[in-house]
Amino acid sequence: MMQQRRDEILAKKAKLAELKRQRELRARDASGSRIGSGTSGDSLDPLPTPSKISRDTVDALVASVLGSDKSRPTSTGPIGSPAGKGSRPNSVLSAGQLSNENSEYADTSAGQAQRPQSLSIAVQSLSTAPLSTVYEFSPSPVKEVFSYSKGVQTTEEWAQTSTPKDYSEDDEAGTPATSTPSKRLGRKERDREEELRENIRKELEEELKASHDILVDGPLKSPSAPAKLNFPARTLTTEEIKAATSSDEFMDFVERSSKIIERALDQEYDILADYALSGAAGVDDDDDEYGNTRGKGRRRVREIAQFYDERWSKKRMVSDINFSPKFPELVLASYTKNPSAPHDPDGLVQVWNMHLHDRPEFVFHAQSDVLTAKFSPFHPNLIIGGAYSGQVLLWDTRAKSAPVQKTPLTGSGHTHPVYSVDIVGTQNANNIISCSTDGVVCGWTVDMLAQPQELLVLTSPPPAKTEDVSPTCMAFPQTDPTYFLIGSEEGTIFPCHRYDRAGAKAGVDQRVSYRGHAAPVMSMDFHPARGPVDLGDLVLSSSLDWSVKLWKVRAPAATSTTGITGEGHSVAPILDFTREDVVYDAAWSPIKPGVFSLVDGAGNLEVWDITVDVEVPLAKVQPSGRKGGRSIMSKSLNRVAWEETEGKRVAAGGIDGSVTVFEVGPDLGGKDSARNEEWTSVKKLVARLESQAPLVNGAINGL
Amino acid sequence: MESQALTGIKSNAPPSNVSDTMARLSGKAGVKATMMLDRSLNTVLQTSGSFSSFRSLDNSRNTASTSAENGAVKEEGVEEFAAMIWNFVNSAGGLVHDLDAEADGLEQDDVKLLRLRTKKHELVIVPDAKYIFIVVHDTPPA
Repeated sequence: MMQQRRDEILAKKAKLAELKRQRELRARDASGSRIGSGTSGDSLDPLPTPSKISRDTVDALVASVLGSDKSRPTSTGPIGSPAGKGSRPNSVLSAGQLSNENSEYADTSAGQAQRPQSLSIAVQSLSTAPLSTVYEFSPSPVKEVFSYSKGVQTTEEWAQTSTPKDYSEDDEAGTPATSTPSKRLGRKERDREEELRENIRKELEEELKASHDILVDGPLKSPSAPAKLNFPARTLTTEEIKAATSSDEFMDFVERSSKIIERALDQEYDILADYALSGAAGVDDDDDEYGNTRGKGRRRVREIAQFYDERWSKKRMVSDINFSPKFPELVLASYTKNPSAPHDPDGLVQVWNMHLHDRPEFVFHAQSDVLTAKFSPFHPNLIIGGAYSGQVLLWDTRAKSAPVQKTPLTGSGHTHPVYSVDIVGTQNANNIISCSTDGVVCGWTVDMLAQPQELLVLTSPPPAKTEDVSPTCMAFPQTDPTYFLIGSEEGTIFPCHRYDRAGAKAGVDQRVSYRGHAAPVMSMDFHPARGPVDLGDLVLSSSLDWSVKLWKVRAPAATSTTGITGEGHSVAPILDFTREDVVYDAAWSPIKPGVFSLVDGAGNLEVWDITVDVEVPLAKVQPSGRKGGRSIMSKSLNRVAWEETEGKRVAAGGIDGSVTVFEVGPDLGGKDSARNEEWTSVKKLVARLESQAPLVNGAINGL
Repeated sequence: MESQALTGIKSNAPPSNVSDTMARLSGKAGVKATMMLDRSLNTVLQTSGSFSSFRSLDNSRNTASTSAENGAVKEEGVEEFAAMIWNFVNSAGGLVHDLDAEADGLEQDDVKLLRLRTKKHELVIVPDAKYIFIVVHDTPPA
């Protein structure tokens, strides 16, 4: 280090000497007149002389130092000092140099005779002020920066950055605290850091090279050794660390690597577990707290994970949950806005990983509350969502947090909140279908959200008082992408066609309606029906009227034959599950034909199996309260979703913003436990139920 | 405002900064210490927790509690530990490169993750082209 600095100083001095010589020639002519003004106004005078000392004394001193050449020091004074003052960025700088020169001067004056050569240089460097002219020519010569970085000369910027901790946080996190002035400062700092990083790198390269050379020269060392040997090259200063740790590259690395590490730490199974040792551990059947009537044994429902992020989940409500069809360990949750954080994006989707407990795998944003979101079944990276603003959003896990596509906020699409979206079709031909509360249903292509491909305005069938229908939810059957149900705010479920077809126009099918709910329908779910018996016409609906109802819907083709009576034909539910609170969501198990789960306003998750019991749930649990969670009011659960490939895990979330994942016992889920008898018994049950009340009901209303 | 908020977000992750991440990591149950090394600068960038247990066994017992003190570079133990890790990672990298010697021409193989399990604890090391991230944590009781 010292060697480098010395080199720099020498180089500077040489340059100065050259300048000096030229100026000297000019100065010699006018030296006489300048002597007077120069020395008296010379505030740069290095010696701590009181101003009272006459310039004769100074002259004498100078003369004694310089010998015969009188004109030199006097001429440097006037040219040097005022110019220097003007062009220097600040006084600290020159003061620092001054003190340097000062000491050198003193040094030389002490031992005059010995070093006449270096002495003259020293005196010339009294006029380091002209150096600033050099400085103007080349704004940032690397050498200059070197000397500055040692803290000898401090500029204003440096003073700013030297408050270390806060700055990097402010700057990099882009917190709202960064206002305009500090933003500009931020850029400056960034440049500065960039420069600093560059410098450290160069410096280290040199050092490395140097050590490498030494080692290569040395007989014993192998050429690959140096990097290993001089590991702690040196301790960086706080600022250098700051520069190194605020690079984008570093931040990116931290993001990636910390995820890996957290997954490693969260891994529950200990591969080194030794089962031959004591058998006490591993029995965890003891979590039956506060009266959860959870199922026992094979009907057990056990909480396995709870996801909540202090930064993002806080004060938001879970509006939707969906498991990834491709990666069963990923579950997404969409959230409404956090009313106490106006600077955070309103809408939020977090993708949680079962193997990463403390933080979301991905975070996606939207400008408006996200009311619904789901993974695209046809593309593992895509997530679609619907927003309160009426926008349909598309996120990509390969991209950043902002939606990669969104529909415009114009009249061409939705202008009311979108509570329901779906992707229907096949792998090669699929559409996003979205439904807003004003009765508009839009079809979009995934590639182009600028304009809806199809737009359908739903209207209430004739007997209604108004034409308006306000859908709160929408459900497509597994087999037919052109036909769907909507649940309305008034409680009626209407079948709808996307296109005109024989006997029915596009829109609400006027001939059939499913009446039974007395309050808004909150969710509908078609039976997934992946078994020996087709149960795809069973629909489960949940409502604010404290009930879940089971419907058998008419196939769209069949409805056209049943009669062109003109009058609406009302169908009643085949089964009614009355609950003790409003029911916000109900969902079929993807594996077990008779199993479904529901969540209610009291915060319960219930798992039912209609092949076993249609009166009481087999299991009923509440998510464990989060630490610091709020009162009973915050317990309400909003959404429930099953993991689709295995059917063993079910996730629920609600007002308190946390997503809780449960694992159900082998009688309630799991691939290998679905037996054929269950399918037939559901079929029989439905047939039996159908033969009872609904037929009568249908006959009355139909005729 | 929007664009400002977005520029802070890297690769889809929450725009939490480094210190947040480090704090959360070191706050996890069982985590004893974390460390960041810069491979190109050969230096320690950040540490948290206590490294004292890796030098002398005497005071390892009573200083087991972790103190999350980001950026505070500690003296001896840190440097020593870093040097040991450095050597370990480099020799592991050397091994992988040697193993992969036949398959040259294509992309060279490289170390992605090192988990070193001992009786006392586990080191999880993520080596990268430019950085190394080390977390020391207690193994779950066997």
